[in-house]
Amino acid sequence: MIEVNQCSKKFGMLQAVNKVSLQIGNREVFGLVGSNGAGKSTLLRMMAGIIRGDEGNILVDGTDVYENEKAKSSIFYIADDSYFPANFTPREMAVYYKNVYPSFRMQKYEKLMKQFHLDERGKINRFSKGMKKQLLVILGIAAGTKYMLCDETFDGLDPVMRQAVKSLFAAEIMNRDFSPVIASHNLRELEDICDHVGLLHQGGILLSQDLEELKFHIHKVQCVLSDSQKEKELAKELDVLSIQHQGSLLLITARGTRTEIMERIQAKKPLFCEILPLTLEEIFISETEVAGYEIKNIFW
Amino acid sequence: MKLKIYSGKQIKMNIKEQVWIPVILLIGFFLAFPVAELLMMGNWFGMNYTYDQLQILYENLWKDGFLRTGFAITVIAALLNSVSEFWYLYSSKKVDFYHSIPVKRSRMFFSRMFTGIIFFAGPYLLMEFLTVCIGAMRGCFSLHLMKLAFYMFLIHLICYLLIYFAIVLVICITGNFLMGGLCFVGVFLYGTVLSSLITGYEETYFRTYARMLYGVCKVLKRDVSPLFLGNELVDKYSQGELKGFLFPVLCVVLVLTAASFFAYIKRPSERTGEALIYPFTQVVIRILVVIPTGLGTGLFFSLFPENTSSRDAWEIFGLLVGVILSYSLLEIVYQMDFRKIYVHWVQLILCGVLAILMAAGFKTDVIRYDRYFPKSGQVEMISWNGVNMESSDYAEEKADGRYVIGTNNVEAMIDLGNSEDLLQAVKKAADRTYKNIKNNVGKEDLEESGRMVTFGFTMKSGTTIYRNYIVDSQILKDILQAAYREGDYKKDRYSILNIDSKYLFSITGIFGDGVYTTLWERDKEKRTEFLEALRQDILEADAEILTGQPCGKLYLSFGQIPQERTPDNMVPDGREFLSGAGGMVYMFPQFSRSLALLEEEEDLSISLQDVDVESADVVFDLSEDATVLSDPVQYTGKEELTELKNILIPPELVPEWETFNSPWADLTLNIRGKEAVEGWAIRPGEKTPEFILLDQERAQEGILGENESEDSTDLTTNLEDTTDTEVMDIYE
Repeated sequence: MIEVNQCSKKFGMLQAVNKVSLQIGNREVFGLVGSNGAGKSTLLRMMAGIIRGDEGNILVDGTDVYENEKAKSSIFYIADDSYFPANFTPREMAVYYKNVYPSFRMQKYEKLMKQFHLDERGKINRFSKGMKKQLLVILGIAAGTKYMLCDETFDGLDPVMRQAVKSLFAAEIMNRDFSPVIASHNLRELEDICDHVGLLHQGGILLSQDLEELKFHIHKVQCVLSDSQKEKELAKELDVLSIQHQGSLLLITARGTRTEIMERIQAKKPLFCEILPLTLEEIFISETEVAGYEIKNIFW
Repeated sequence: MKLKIYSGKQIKMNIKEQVWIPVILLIGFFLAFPVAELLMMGNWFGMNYTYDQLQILYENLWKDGFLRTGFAITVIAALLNSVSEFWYLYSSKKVDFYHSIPVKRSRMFFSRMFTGIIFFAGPYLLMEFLTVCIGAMRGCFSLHLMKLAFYMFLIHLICYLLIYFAIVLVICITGNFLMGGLCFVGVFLYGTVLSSLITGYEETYFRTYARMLYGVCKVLKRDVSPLFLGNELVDKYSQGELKGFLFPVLCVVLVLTAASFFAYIKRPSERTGEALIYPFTQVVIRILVVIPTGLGTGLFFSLFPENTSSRDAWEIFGLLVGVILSYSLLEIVYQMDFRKIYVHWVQLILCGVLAILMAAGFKTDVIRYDRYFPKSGQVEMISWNGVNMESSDYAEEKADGRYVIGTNNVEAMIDLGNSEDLLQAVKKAADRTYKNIKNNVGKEDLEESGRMVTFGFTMKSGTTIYRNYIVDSQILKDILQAAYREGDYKKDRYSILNIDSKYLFSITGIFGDGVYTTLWERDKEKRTEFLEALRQDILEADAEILTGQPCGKLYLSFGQIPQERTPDNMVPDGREFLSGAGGMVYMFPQFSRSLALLEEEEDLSISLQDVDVESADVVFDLSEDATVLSDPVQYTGKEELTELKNILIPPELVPEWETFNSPWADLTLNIRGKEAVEGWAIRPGEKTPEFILLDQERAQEGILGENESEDSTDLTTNLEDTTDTEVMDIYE
């Protein structure tokens, strides 16, 4: 388990990460979502032991990760903009990682390289961005680490490869103790794969929950009420994240279980009432709106 | 288990990653060692050096030649290795890659360091081995040479580590290429620039400043830059003076290793791209750059104005301009933002104030530089550069009969001794100089008020301090007497006489009659006899005799002296390297043995009393700048000539520790049987005769005729044209 306890990091005047606490459990896919500049990459770099927090600590299986070879040997970090030593081939990279990761599996690497149809002897600096990402995922899987920290790894992958990588993660989770942490803006991608979501905004964590639990506790309802007084009463009774009007149709996004919300609405005797499915993207927008991050605040 | 062997495997990977470096270094060392060896040996064989000479030259190649060429490649190796292994720290992408892998930074640091050493030592040892083999094939091989090769490797390895860690430290404390480049230049040149600045201030504001490199300036110039320190290590080893120098250099290497190690492992990765990684270094660099720059520009601006008050104003102006400009430029590099230039305005003001205070400190001599004089208990040796006053070469005979000849050199410092008498005599010079300084005597006037002599005080702590003092004839006499009494100075001063008489080429002397005479030109035995007599006389002479009034002056010339064999003066075919030497020796009346031999010579007149002076022609100055001269006055009267003979002396016989008087523009003596001799002076302690003073007055009153000084060469002609009667008429 990776435990992030009250971690903060400041770059000059900029508070990149502000007292973030979250836990990444074993054998789960953790999605780290957040607005631009929310601190996702900084948090991942802190988890990878590249930078040290100003306060708080990050424990990987109970030990501090910074400058700790044992803890870091269970983490494979894939940066958004990755670096490969000049003139290295995938094979040389594999040998390099084999020297530093004790559990590196060469056979696994060779097998995956064949599956992904990547040229083992070609120079990496001639690879496309997507091919480099694929190679890193392969190397990360072959490294046999317990945790894989992926910063925007799905960017640049074509839909087939995205699916292939997702399948690869699923297979690894099935076969061994493996927990990928994926930081991304692409919430639709994450929705398919993540078990748990951490939502970062302006350096702080807005929520960290299982995706199912998150969806269980936030709902979107469309209904038609007989008068505006009832709408006002409903807004007070429910933990509303957003209310939108489409003519007489009212769209409410609120926290609470389906039963709780429906009971309150039914009590107002609506003319029409229906629960709509809520996507991760909608949850993100609703939650960040509450935190003041909405489109009208950006442009107007 | 795999982690434990990381370093070895990592080094292998590093070698694979940077294989171009050992290839370049292999070529470099190939040129520096085997190619240089083949070139040199080819030359030597072509010049027919003997086997013994070849051995000496070849050994010297390992002690000096390869040391220089190898040092140049070592510097390149240190630069290439340090930059290629650590410059990833300037790229956040690379930092993320290397610092995310499960390897401790300390381990990473040492694996990179060892990779560098392998890159350096591998090609080095390979090429050194090849060089030894080539030498052995050509008949030059011994265990001693192997030892020299090993020592040379150690010296170069120390130089490599010194420069390598200095560059690594620069990379570790800086965050981008611009700042890295600036700091790199700073580390290698800062000491030299600061030393020049301090020297400039000392020369401008301290009147007793001597142009000798010592103390802080010497350390700054030679030991602060890793490059110059490495070069000095090579020099010291080459000269066999490594003892006492190696340990401090090793300490510097250790300090640099520790500093670069901690700077590396503590380096916050997120600061990559910023100018400086550690904020405290900003303040340190700011102070180190801004204050000296201000002082430098202040000094520069003070050079142009003519009058003192405007010079001060311009100096302050230049100083402030330098401070503000350098501070602003540094801030732009630090902040990369023009708007933040004056964020640390308090530091700017502080730097400005400190620069002004330092400049004022130099101006008012706060450290009492000019007043400084060492205490007697602290001084190990006093030396001076006054040897050129009695110019003689230095000669020392070696056990094999060859000589070490040191050419007389104005700048060479000669040891005088360390007695209390000597110190007090020098102190008199210091006090006199300081008195003049206090009386606001200008620097140029100060130098004209006596002879400016540089004194060196070697302290018991090992440091040497140099000062320039004004020395008049009496102080000079006191110093010389004190030095002669101590013993060693006399030995060094007259070391030229140690040369075997068989190499004595000629003796030329000038005595009381003012005529230069070559002695015993064709009589070698007599010259040898005279040299032996002179040696004995000098050996027996005490300090008072040797600083008395000379009665003659000898120029001894030696030739065909076999010099000590060194690689620098090797002559092909095993021939000796022969050279000459010369020296001047005063003859004193107490030199009984040598004077007796001189008196045997019939043509030689030791004293003016021994010759028949027919007349004396005197020309007086009628203007202060000697542009207008009087017509010559001729004296032929017996009494006048007798009086003149008693007081006249050739100026050549007046030593530095005496002063002579010359109230005329010129005095020519016409001696019977000899050529007329010009330029006579009045013997020290004697007074100008009354009849001369009277004529001088008459000349100045215009009673005597006058000539332009350009006509002085025609004085003889004028004299010839004037009859005795006419001269007497004028006189009357």
